[in-house]
Amino acid sequence: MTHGINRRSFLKGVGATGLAASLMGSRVALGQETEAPLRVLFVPLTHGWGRDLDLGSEFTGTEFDFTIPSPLNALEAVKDQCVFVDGVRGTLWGNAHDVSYSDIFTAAVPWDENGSDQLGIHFPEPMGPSLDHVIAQHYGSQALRVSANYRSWGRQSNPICFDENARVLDSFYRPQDAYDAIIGPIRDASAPPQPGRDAVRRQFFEHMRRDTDRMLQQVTGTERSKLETYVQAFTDLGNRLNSRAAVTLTLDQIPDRPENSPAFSAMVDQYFDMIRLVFQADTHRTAVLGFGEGIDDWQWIDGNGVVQTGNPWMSDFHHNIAHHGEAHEDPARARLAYEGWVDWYVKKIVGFVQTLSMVPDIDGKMLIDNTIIMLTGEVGTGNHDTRNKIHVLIGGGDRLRRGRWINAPLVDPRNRNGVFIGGESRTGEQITSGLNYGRGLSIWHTADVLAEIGRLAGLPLENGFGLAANNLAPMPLRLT
Amino acid sequence: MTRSNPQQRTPFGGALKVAVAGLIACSAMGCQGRLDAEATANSTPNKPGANGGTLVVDGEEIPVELTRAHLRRLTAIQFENTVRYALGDVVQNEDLPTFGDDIPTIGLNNNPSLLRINAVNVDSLYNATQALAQASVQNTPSVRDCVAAADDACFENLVDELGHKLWRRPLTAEEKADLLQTRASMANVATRAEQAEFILMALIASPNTLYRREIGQPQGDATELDDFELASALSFTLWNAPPDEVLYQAAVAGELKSKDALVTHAKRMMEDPRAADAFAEFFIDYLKIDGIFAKSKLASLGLTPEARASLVQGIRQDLREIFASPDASLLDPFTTTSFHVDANGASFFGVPVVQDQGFEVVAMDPSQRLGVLSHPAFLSVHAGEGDSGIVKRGVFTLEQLLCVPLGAPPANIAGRDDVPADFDDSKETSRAVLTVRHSSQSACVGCHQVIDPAGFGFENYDSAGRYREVEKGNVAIDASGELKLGLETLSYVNSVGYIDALQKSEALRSCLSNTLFTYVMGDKPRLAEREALYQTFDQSNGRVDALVEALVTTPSFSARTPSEQ
Repeated sequence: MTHGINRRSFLKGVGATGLAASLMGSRVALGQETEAPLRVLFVPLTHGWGRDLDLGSEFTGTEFDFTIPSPLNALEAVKDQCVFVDGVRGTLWGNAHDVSYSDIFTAAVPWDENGSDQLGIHFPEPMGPSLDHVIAQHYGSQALRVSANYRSWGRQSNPICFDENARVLDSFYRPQDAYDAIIGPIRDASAPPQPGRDAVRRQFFEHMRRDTDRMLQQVTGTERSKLETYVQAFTDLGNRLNSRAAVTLTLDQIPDRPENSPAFSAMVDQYFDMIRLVFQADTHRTAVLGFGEGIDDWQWIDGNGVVQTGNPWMSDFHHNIAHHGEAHEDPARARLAYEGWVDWYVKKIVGFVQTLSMVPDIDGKMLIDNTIIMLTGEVGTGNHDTRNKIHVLIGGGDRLRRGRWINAPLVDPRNRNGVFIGGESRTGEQITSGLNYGRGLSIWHTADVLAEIGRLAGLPLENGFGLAANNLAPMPLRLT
Repeated sequence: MTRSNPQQRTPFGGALKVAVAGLIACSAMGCQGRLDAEATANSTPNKPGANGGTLVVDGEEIPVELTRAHLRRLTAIQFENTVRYALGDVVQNEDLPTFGDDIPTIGLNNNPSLLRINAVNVDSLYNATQALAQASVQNTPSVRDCVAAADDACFENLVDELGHKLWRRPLTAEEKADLLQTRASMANVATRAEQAEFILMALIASPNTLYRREIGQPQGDATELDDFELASALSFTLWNAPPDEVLYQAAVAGELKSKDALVTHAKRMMEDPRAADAFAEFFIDYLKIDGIFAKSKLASLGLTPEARASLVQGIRQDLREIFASPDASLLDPFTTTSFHVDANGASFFGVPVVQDQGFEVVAMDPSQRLGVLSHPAFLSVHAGEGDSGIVKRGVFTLEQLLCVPLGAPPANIAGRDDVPADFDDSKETSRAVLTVRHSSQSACVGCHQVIDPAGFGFENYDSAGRYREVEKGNVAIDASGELKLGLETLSYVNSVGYIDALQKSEALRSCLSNTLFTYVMGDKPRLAEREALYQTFDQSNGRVDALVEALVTTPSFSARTPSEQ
């Protein structure tokens, strides 16, 4: 099945390849790159991708000959591109949603922390950076972070990305803002040269730096981080605007700015198109696309085989659909509705993968061969399970052994045979989890997946990623 | 009302009795997670690190631990008022930046930790800065005249004139020279208009404009705010705007170190209509009213964008009128019995409006509505997509209105307790369904026996704040309950009774006092200042003028604990 991307509002009068080729004038098309770099897209879905050990159908078959269960089965269309890591654990305490957000890409939230001064009472602060930031820093590149309703507790976007000082790296939550950041400078560059304005812009950013440095000298302690974030944002903006001379896009190739408050589906498509654009242009090596609740007309099939639309309980998706555990009034029906909901997102991913499979990269391969998409979530399902979260890696070409299902080894929580399951305190103390219920605990932590992806992206992560206590699996996860 | 001993009120932000009761109840029933962590994190030692002298409360001398020094990014309205003040009437709404700040469900939107310039809003800020500079070059008389002049001396005048209005202090010689020399360096390639734009952009987007300093200069183990910091603290607190010329000149003259001078200026400023606007904005923030624009609601509720805007505009007008009174009390919003209503909002109040356009003040049925907690804007924010959101309303009431910290839900929801076979959700009240299917589970009951009664009291209002006595067609609403808050117990038979009991409770009054302090200082009060402010609140019955005087003379208004290294 093909799932085309609606690019009506984003790409106007220009083919995707042509636009990206123009953008690529900035770097890769000028011969500065001899090999195509790996790009990584991280896609967290709120409430997870629909599998944990207690809920959801099982994979069946063997490592390279298996059947994908619902709600992931739409991935059959791109199965040969996928690696299913069937269960890694995350945080094992507190409100699994809130605690996990800042851990899923950092693997660095200290044990049993539930909130922080910086992020508020619901979100703990990690002790290390997120992988998207580390990859971007390693390559001196940018990271595009966007949120499609991926939010909670009044935050415009969940705190999932952090720099090395644990400062949160926010996501664009409106497509037009992301567009302005990506396309705005390109559009400005396409205007006729204006020496006066160019001088004003250049001097503005240089003056800004001096001005902030003066203020920084007068501010000590934690308050400095506010100015550092400020100056970093302006420095990045200045670099984008002032590096525009290398871009060859012409005015008639400028896509339209996304409309305000687009429908959720259109928003997702617009974000995908931006990610494809910046990956193809190699202006960004990593991107993060957070999926939140945003659709109310998804279709699903009930127990009688009848097609249904949306939330049969009308409201409160979180509790009525995502929380489809035993406490639910009708858990079986809620599970089916939930699976249909996840399937909507899965099909969006499939469509994106198919698009990347048609976009040529500079090494003659397709963009999907040089892009890894990682599907993850703060929990396995909406029922708060963080013991065995499904992860799916898609693409990556020969870097990965694809078309594969890796069934995570489990340990009995009551008889762990020396396998360390726990975390690490802020002072570095390793703390064993007392969790002793359920069928099993994955020996792998999110850190193991992140470390593998980081290594594939060329990072020196021989000792793992995140807190040391999260990298103690007796049998390392290997994706190659 | 008799006050409790201040030493008994210490550990939980002025609500010891409430919090301890909740803590004990939850812990005893197995409530896990953040409850314990929060209690520890918010604890204040009995002998705090005193660095601000002492305060006498109820005859008892209490050492003062000052709040922390901050850089505070201007809120959107403060930025708008600042550029309007400096540039004049040239600012169009579309030229203003979108900061995209978070609206935390619990806490305050003006929390200094949350307001940032970052990768998400920097493009908008930059574009706005360009637009504002260009508009000013076209329309601000002094800028326009300078562009048309032949000599360069007027650029210096521009820096002097606009600089202190935007930065709320004089520029240093180095700062001024940097601006003017940079301007001069581009004179051979940029037009005079572009040179003026550079000066304006550099001033507007500067951290000196965007952040107000409450940092101070070291003075022993504290820092003492300088006159310009004090002037900004006063004006942004009372007006959400920069200091006017009178206040600025008082800062230039070094007069604001005197508490008498601070009080004198505060009294003068309270007579300005902007003070009522500022207190209205405090309530908008405190109740999270702006959250209505991001709330997902069933279409059948009719809460259209126009209706949302109408409800917010209406409640804003209600609050402005309340606080425009010289006798205004912070408690007045909880007891008002009439609201501004227009045609877009009338159906949510269940009242007719006479005028086709515009707002009119409509008296409500006192058996159905009492104060802002019965306003549809408030009730819509704190509700589900289509349901009344008993838990949401309960959590907000406890955490935000009563300052009772709650724990996080457990990591995994256990299996439910037995539900009677004949239990039919469609024939039971929402509270009964919640209780039977969720709250009665062993993992949940500890916290929900505290949370749920705080939400049951709003059950006379649906998800959009419409008054109701039945739900699900013909199931009679039960909005009665009993909320135990330590030594206080709020008993109520319906929603109006609940709201009345809330606004009379010491728990709400002390929490409101703390919240106002936090809003003004950007940090929670510690023991001595918390108790002293509550004493003023209690004795004045929440009078705004008394609270303002207490706030501008409390030690943390003028001095701070240095920020952590």
